[in-house]
Amino acid sequence: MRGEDNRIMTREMEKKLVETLLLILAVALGVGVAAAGFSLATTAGIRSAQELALPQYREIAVSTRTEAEDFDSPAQMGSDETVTLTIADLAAVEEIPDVTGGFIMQEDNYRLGNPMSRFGGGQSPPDGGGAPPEGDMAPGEDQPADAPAPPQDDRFASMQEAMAEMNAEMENEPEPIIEELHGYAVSADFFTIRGLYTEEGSLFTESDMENQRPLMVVGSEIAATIFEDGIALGRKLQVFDKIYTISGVLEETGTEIDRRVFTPLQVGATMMMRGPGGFHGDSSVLYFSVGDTAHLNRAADQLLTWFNAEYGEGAVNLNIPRTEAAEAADRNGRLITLIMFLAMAGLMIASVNVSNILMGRAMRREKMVGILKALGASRKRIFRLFFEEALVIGIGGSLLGVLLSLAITRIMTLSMGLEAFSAAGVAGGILLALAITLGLTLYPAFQASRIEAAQAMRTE
Amino acid sequence: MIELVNIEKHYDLGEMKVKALDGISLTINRGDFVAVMGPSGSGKSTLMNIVGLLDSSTGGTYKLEGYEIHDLSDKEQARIRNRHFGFIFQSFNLFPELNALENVMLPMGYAGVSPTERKNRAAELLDQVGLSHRLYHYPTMMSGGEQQRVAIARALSNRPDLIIADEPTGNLPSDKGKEILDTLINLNREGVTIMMVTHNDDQGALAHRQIHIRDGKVAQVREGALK
Repeated sequence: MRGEDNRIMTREMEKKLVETLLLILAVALGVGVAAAGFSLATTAGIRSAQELALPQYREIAVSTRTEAEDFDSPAQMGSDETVTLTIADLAAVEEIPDVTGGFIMQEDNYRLGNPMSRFGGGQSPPDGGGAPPEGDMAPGEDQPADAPAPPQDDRFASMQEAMAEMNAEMENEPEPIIEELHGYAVSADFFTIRGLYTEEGSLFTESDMENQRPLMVVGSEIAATIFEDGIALGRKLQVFDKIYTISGVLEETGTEIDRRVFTPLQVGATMMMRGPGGFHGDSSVLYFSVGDTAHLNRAADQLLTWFNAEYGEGAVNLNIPRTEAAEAADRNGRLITLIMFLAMAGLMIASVNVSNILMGRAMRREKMVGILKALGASRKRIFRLFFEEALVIGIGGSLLGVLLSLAITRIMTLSMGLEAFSAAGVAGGILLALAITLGLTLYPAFQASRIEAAQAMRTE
Repeated sequence: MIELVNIEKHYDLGEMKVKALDGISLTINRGDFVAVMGPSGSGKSTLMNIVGLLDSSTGGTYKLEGYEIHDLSDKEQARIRNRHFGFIFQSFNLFPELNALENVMLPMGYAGVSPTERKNRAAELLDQVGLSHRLYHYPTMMSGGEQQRVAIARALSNRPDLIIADEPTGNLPSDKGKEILDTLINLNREGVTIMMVTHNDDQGALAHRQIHIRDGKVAQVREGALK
């Protein structure tokens, strides 16, 4: 029932507009911060759960000592002690029951364009021998169109010839607008184990690897940007002495994969020269996938035993990416808890203040309540009257708080590059904040309802 | 109509016990015009609060139409205040946020009267007290006498059985006070029971009965001129 008493409250609020707006703002700040905290916690929780579910966190990486030590001791590179991991080492998959699959991966950079133009129009060949061209092989063809030319004594002539051939082949191909691609030479199982599928075209297979086909599977972002017209599939790319054909475009993953390219690891091929990057040591890393992540450590122990038996004690290094990711997630979790605590503290401070001010408002209106009671208002009616006022402030503040939390999550997203907005998180935060705020405003309304009717008779 | 037996109101202020009312017994019949008189602090206002259900007694019995008031819930007491009592205060106690019409409409809202009916009846009542030209004026724009007439209209809005007036002329110049008193006398002639606190002996003399209170007790009951 709307009555004249409601009108008193409305006009009172209008009269004390600044105070009312400040109250709404206080609620908005508390609610906004709490909801943003909730949203951040929700997205962070979902993100770390999703991340740990990624296939790479079921894997054990095996690399050689030198690779593991990286450039801390570059002198060791290529020394006799270095063990070379090859695709043959994937045989470990068969021996260890916890391991369900494996692949080999070698990081690489692909410098695009005709090398001759860089070296002065083909007049002065670079030092060192180039591998003979392997020609273009369209996917699906069993045999190379042009068999590799046999090595000749006159390497210079052979190279010039090969370059001329390549130039002829590339003549009608559009120029890529990217200079360098980053990616990996991988064995065929890489895609299945990482759960990657093509959007267009096809992935390369083991037979493509054995036949040393120069195929390239590209990430979605690369596919869209490498050529001006946004078309990638079927196009050819010259990478120093090789012409790759883009045979597949991966589905968008939202990860680094979108910006990477993949080529079949050349089994047994000696890659003497890899463009301006110079020599690449054999930087192959083997990845073994484990069916049950609970058995990661056990599988790692077994793998270590296997590799120790194969290459001698300490020749390889094992790394479990999940351990690090789980630690990071744990650290993040504690940080998020702290943020939540601060956000909730902000909410509590705001709510207690609002409650306190409303209490003051109610006490200032003792006389009014007394008169209303004398005229027939019950305790319940007075409670409702005051609670409705708190509700207007609470809901007004919450609506403003939603906007504020959207702004805060947006700022967090922009400044930290992490997705902090979650509709469920914001909604949950708003509901909780509203419940706390309204809970704390119940008390002033209750106190107002207890004001005695005899206050009406009091003369000031 | 109202029967008070041995009503007590004690305040416990730590070591000091204050007996605001100390065994008051009185009866008010339908159609009465009772003047409650006495010096400041004698307990008149406390008595009026208890009769008007604005306060509760700490001892004794209060029967309204034969019902024991003490046993009634807050909601029922609020209902009685709304439907059966009309209050007129010394300082008018109009709501400054509401205009004359809305002030008169307010108690009818608690009685569940529809807005249109509230408005019509409020306008009618304000016309009766001679304020038909002041319907949309706010209390601050009216004189004391006008405000008190709005308050009378408000007190009458739910056709009360008893009007409780606490020094209704106390804040008014004597000519305006007389107008208010005349209005009350007329209401009484129409059958409304009136219980009025006053300091003024002349006003008290107009009542059927004068009840003199001193130190929380009934000191004297005198029959008035009107009887």
